[in-house]
Amino acid sequence: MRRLTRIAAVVATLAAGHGITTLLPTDKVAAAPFVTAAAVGEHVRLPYAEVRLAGIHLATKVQGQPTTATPYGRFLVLDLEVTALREPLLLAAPYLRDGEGRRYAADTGAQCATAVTLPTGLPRYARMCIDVPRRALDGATVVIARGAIEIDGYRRDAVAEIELSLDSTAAEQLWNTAAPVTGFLSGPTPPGDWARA
Amino acid sequence: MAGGAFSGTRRWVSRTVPAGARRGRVLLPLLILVATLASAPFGGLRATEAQPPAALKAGEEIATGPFDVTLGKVVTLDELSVNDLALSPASPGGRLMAIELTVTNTTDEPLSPLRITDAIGGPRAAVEPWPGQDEPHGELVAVADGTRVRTVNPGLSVHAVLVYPQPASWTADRIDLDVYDFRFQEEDPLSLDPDTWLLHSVVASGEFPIKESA
Repeated sequence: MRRLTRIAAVVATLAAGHGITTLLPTDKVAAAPFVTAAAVGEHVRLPYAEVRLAGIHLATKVQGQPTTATPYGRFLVLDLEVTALREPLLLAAPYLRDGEGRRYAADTGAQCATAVTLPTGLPRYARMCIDVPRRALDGATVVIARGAIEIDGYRRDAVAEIELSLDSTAAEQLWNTAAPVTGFLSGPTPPGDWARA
Repeated sequence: MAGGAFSGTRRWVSRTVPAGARRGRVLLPLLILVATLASAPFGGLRATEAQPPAALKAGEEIATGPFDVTLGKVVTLDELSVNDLALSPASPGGRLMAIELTVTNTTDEPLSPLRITDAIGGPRAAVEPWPGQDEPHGELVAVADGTRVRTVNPGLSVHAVLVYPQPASWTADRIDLDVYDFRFQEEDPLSLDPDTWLLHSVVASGEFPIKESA
């Protein structure tokens, strides 16, 4: 009888442990980033930086020297104003999340910035480009953070999520009015065709 | 401890098993054995064979898992120079081999160009490493702007050429090419890298003529 009781106790303990690790969303809760939502043009104050998505362009080309980058779809060009608040910062490239949760990465190292090194307290202007198909624009959100989503998933870090507020009609109009944009990485002053929200 | 090997006394209880149950214990495994042996003429005991690769032809789309790929023509050329990209043969008398392909990302995540080059294979003797490198690897160049292929985001297609240096010893005018597929692995106990596409096996093979670049 005592043996049965012990076996039952062990089984019950194992079952409880399994229940805690599988049924309760411990991973999601523990690793979830701290998200600040904002709109285009708004200042977002994160613990490590102040960020503002000044505006967006949709580009058929990004003109660089000497190479001009041609997108496989269209370039969604993000004009970002960023200031590191406490210490020098390496800001990773943002990504775009579409209305259905698909993720689109920024990547044109020669014509647009993919990561920006920021001195403390001095505003910097950075242009980042994300190659997107038409469907990516509907309900799209730009996600900005200092880490790389592929490596740590922004685990428990502060993240800015900036909604582009593009419904299907606005997205279609933006898509059809795409034009070439000047390549720019980052610097203390913006280029002439800087976006205004 | 109660009972078990260290218990003081043991009581042996004789139990009579009904004749029907005894017959069942013998018959059931026997039936399973007979059924297995009976399936032998129909391939029941044959080891599972891997699916043979499909025929690889120019213009036909192959699904690899994370992306679809369509091979075009294969050309040989002296050098490739577009904008600020310049590729030259790796050894004296060598040439460049360019495999035309179109790739479409069919997943919900960005696709690295490294994964695309991993998916295309062929005879080792046909290629050699770039200068200063130990192993041959292809340079993937976008046709639209002559730049190295960037990350291919979900739903996008890229038309590109995969360029390898070719040694002077390779003189054949045809080449056997393979396309590999990938297997999705949610948990990787070795690398602790979850949700990864791992190179799997050859899904399509075919012979392509190597044409002289115009």
